[in-house]
Amino acid sequence: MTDQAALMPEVEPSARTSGKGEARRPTRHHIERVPKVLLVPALMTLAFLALPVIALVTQTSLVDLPARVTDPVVLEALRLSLITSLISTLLCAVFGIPLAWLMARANLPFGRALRVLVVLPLVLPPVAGGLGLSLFFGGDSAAGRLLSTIGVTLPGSTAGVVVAQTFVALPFLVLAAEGAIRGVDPRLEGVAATLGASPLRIFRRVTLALALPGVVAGLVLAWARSLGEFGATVTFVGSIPGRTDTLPLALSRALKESTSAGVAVGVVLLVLSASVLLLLRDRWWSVT
Amino acid sequence: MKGLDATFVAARGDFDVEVSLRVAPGEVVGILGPNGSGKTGLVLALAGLSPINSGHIYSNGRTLDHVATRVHVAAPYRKVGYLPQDALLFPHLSVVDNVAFGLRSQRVSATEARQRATASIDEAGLGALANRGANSLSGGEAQRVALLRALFSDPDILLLDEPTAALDVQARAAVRAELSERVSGFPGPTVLVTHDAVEALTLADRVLVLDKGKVVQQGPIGEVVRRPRNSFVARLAGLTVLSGRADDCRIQLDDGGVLIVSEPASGPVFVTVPPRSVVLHRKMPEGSSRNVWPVWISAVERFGEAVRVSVDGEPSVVADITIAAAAELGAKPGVRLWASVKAVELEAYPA
Repeated sequence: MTDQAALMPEVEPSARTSGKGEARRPTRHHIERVPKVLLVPALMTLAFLALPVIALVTQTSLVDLPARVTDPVVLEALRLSLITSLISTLLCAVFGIPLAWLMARANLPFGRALRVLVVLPLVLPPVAGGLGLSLFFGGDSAAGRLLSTIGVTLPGSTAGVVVAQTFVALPFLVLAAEGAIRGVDPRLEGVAATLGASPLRIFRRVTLALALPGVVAGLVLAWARSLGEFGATVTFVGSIPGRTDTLPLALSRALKESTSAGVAVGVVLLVLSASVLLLLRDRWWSVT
Repeated sequence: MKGLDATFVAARGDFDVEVSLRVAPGEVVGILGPNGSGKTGLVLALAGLSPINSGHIYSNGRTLDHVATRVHVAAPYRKVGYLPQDALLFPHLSVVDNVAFGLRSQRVSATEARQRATASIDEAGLGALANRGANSLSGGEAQRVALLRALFSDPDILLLDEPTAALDVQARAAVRAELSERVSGFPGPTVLVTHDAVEALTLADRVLVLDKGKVVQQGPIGEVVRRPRNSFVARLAGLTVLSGRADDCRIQLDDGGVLIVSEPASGPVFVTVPPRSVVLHRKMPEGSSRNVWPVWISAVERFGEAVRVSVDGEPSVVADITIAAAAELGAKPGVRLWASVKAVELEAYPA
């Protein structure tokens, strides 16, 4: 355990809570030591976070929920959301992990500036990101014309949705994976090299294998971000039912009709998000 | 040529490591030196894990590095077996998969690699560990597995970087026995980095002493510890070594003080003072010793059956005295005493 902790400080938080970690959990009967001044805002925060979610569920009329949820428009949005978000998560893995490796291992010039660049989509309002995508990939741009020569037009297409989602989700994956890779002792890679492993094999069998828990957590975060993506998509590709209307877009459209229609889509989104949380349980649900 | 032939300069942050090293097949050369002397830097350069700035490294007739012609063979292709201080087993793999890692890298099938690794683990008497996770092993077990792993891919050179330094006393004995057997059976050149004289004594045919990246002394271990040329080796050998300038039998020490030796010498010399030859007195002694000087105690520590007393003065030396003598002297830091040593106990040799 100590060895492992020393070698992979941020990679395996789950190992600490599973099994023998139980005994080390701090006991909880010290509540009288918590200052009351803190208790009040703490409980308020809890209510603030929980009540809107509860409202979403309680406001749903259970009678027409099944009909609403199985409405072809909702099902179509769900299907589109799942497909696009999974593809964009896959793209994040394929393109994000190599960048994470580069940032963690290669001694890059302008490392700090590079990091700002990677984090920017994370803090940028998604609508602004979508505008950027439009300007770069739009029909009149050089990239847009290049893409149209191979028959791809991103604005207004499902492919464009994937691009928008990938754009906003990548930073989550890159940052998580970079941290996980940094946590792998580089000397292990050195030993692997003396054993005859090629750089690619070292990356796969040592670096990535050891960083995997952190990378997977990053992928789940990226997936969650893709699922919830709205602003960049609306701005970049617009809202077209069946083609670009993922669940958040469908929710927005449904709300223009009636609140109860929107609530159904909201519930579907809630269930989906809760399942993402389930995937992250080892990482976020553990106390220690 | 067969064996290892390395002459190079490698940067190591604050100073350069500069060595010239030839190791014949089957020979074990110990690299001795204090922490931060560049020992690990030397090993990393030989392993191809850190670059050299000039010079060459030839192994078994192959050119691994030749800076002038820009030849550099990357670590995976150098056929170097590397055993680091803290084993560095792959924590996510089992013992078998750790040992088989090298073969798998050579595109041997998983089944065959695991079969051969298992056989080799059994042969080494570690069969019980084969399917354990690498991070569940004790330090000694891990180091024995790491040694097996390093040798399993049939390297041309074996590099051992302080292989027992991180272990407790018991594990150290077991690992050292295993090392001794494995290293003597290894047909290629072995480079053993250590700061442990016993390890060098039991494993190495000759040693090379490194200090701040430079080779300060080399030769058979017996000769090196008998005539140390730096304080690190002297401490290893349990001697005090002082530098000075000899004029016949009188040596003016560089750090102050004079010692009289029995053999005449001239010019810059080193003088060794064996701790057992130093006698401590409460009052100025009236005896036959020609070297008598006032000192005060700087440290007292247990040393086997004796007490090791470090005294400051001109010169500062170390004395090993009995527990009874220490009690009688009231030996504790700060106490003022007289030290004496007979001229015949001192050895002076050219610096």
